[in-house]
Amino acid sequence: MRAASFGCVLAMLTAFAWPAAAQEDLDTLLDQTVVTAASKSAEVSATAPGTSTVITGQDLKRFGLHTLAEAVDFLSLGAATSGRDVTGDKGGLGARGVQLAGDEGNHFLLLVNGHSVNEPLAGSARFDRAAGIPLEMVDRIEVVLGPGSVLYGSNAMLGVINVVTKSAKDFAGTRLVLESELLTSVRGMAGAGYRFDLLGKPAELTLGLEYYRRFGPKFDLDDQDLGIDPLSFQPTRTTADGPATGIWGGRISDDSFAEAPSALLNFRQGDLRVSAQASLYRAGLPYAAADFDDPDNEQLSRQAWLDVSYQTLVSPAVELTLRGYGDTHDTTSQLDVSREGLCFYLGAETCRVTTVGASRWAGAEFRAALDWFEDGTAVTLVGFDGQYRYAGTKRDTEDEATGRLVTNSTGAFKRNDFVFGAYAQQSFNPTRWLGLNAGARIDKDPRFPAVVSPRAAVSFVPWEGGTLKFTYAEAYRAPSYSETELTVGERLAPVSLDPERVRSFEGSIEQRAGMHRVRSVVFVTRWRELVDVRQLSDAEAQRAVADGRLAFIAPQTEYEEFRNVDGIDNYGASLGYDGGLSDTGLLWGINLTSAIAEPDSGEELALAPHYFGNARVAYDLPDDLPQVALGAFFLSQRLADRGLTGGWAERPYAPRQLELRATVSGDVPPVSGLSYRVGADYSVAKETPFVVGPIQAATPEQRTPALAQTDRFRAFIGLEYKL
Amino acid sequence: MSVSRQSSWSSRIPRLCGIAAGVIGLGVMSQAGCVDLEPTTDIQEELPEGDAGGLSDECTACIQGESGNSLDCRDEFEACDANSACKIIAQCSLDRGCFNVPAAQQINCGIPCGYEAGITSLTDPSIALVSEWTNCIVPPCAEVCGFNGEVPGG
Repeated sequence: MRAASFGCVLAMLTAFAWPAAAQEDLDTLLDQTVVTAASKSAEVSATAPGTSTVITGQDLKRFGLHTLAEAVDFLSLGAATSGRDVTGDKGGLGARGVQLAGDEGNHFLLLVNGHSVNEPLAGSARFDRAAGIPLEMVDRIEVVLGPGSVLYGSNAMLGVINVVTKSAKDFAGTRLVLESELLTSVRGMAGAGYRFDLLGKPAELTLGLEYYRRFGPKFDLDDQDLGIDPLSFQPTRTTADGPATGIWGGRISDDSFAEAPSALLNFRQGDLRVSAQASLYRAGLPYAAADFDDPDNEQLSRQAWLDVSYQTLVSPAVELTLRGYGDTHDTTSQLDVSREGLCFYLGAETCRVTTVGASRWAGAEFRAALDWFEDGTAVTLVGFDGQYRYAGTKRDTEDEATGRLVTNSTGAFKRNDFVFGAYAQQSFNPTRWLGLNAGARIDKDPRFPAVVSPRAAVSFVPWEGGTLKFTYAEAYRAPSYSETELTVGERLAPVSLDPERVRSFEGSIEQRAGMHRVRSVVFVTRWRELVDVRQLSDAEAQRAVADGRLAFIAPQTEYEEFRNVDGIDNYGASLGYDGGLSDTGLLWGINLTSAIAEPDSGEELALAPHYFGNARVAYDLPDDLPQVALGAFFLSQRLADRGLTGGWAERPYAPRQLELRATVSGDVPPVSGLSYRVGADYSVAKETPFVVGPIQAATPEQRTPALAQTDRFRAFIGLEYKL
Repeated sequence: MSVSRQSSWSSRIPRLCGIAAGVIGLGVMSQAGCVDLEPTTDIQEELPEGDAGGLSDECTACIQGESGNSLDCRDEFEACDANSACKIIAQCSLDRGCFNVPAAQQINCGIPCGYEAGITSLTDPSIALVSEWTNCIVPPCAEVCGFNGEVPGG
């Protein structure tokens, strides 16, 4: 949260920006934060389009943060998750009071060193442990709020989060990290950064290898009464071995686990850069509508990508970038089901339902930047991005005891597409007090008409340290392949589905004075064409039969499909203040956001907090004494994701959340290179706004839902040894 | 001596980490190619079937709640008969001889009948209707129809 370091600013400006920027007063620059995600080039965040928060690697360590999601919650302005649950999954990421049910990071674009990792099958990106990014390697996390499709295309509706890793210089040497959330998890990390000569030219390599394992916590879920099974006329079976009780609930002990090995590598030689990541995430699914606390209920996600770019100045005025990349991502979920109503195959007492989905994509991007006057006052950026995609899925059911398939695959599809995007951006800074930035991108996906995403921003520096900024931007999210292609059970693949769209106008004012920065942002956003599930009318079901999408209409059966439905009006304000006392090592900050999100239906928007924010204070004690930090994250009450559709006796809400985290970190004086971090986290609320378990709508026996649980206290300790 | 040993280790560890990272990365990537998305389409579901034979007039009257020990089942029969899906399932179940097999297999026997009736959800009201009818008629009509007299959950 502090201003970027001198070396960081200088390195970024010399690496990405133009000579005029480098000539600015360095004293001023030292007080500024710099972002690269807003315009694909380094620029001061105060004048960059959108609202930016830069979270440094030092912040991550100081405040005891373990995931991207925690970093956003505790340190960013305007963005937040729905709160932590026991699995460590924060259930997607929202911003400015908009969090959409079913979102798995689909409305934020996640970049790692500029490489997009949102996968096209579900459109998701993970911000929890599944992200597979060793945080010790992170130089900074740029959180840029506001529509960002102008340069990046799909998914950047709420914003763009860019994780930038450290250079070999800042990650020099070899380090080993061992950390544990007591009685819950362990994490080991080995990392190194070094520079060497390769074929007679200087090169550098940074890499990290991480292994995380969670073996708890144990927690309790209220009983859910499933009643009598409609096939067996006996109490519903909820376990493979135990008696049929009709009750799903109790103590979760066996199915609360996770493990996540990952590797991240960066190589650079001259103009050539190579980044690669491979990660695996395996975790229990204790909330699934399957046998209760069965350790075989799990999900396995694997991802790997390679990104190679070549960036060169062909003349003082022209810079070219050529980038090629390839990604693979797959997910397998396995659920054991003993309910006769769901497992009615001869000889099978328990069915194992395995759903497999995979997506692979590869592409190339060409980008050219033209500095018309060779002084940075007028820069034109143009780019083209072509991508080949493959996505598919299927679901198999087998006898859990024998492994024999008991029925044919369902929900199977495979699809290949070529998608294309082209963008242009013009920045113009005619004076020191005026900056203009305008651009647009067009994206073509064969599943829907071409989409144009414009953005325009103007910034003024009317007085010393002050910045006024106005930004208009539009963005879109391409429907995922699961939304456009999947037919399974009573859900039909839609005939057509348009992309979700958002347009936003925001104005901000920022004032800097020494270590102090105050900023206020006002935003008005209109969402439209949102994708959600809707039931088919009788006439629509008949048309589906005529179209061949449905074989027959079963009596009293409700069919459904994804559709473009309501829009949302969203408006509000954010206020942020960062401060400190120079030479004392004392830093503090607070971010507040108040927002209203009104769906066209007139109903309340599920999951959306009306106000949220964070506060923090850190103090570097003198000499060899440690650094002490306290962070707080708070959320107002939120309606549960199934709050409107479940028919509950009362609308279920997750209570107000206040999460407090205290961290002490420092060196272990007797041992050179050894440092520690210890801390504790306390959560006031014990629930998050997600309905879990098999009862997702009220039944005669069950009129209230079970919500995902929060483990209210965690303590952690970590050691880092730098060789 | 110890300094040079430490220096030697320091220089090797990054390379060892690099090799390990590369091996793990390549391992994960190679595994990613192993996901099989080819759908299975040739499974023949093994479902029990009884010896239906033919229904006597006496049996037909009994299962319709018109005579014998099932006189109290007339309402159940009419409710099922008025529901197109229930009617299909009932006729199909009789044709397949599903009431002649042990109770534990009767559900599996009737599954194709559900498919034939277009049932895709067990919450379909026709399931309840057919259940009420079978629970009512199977025990009292067992003798005249040759049913084994058992019903699921009975």
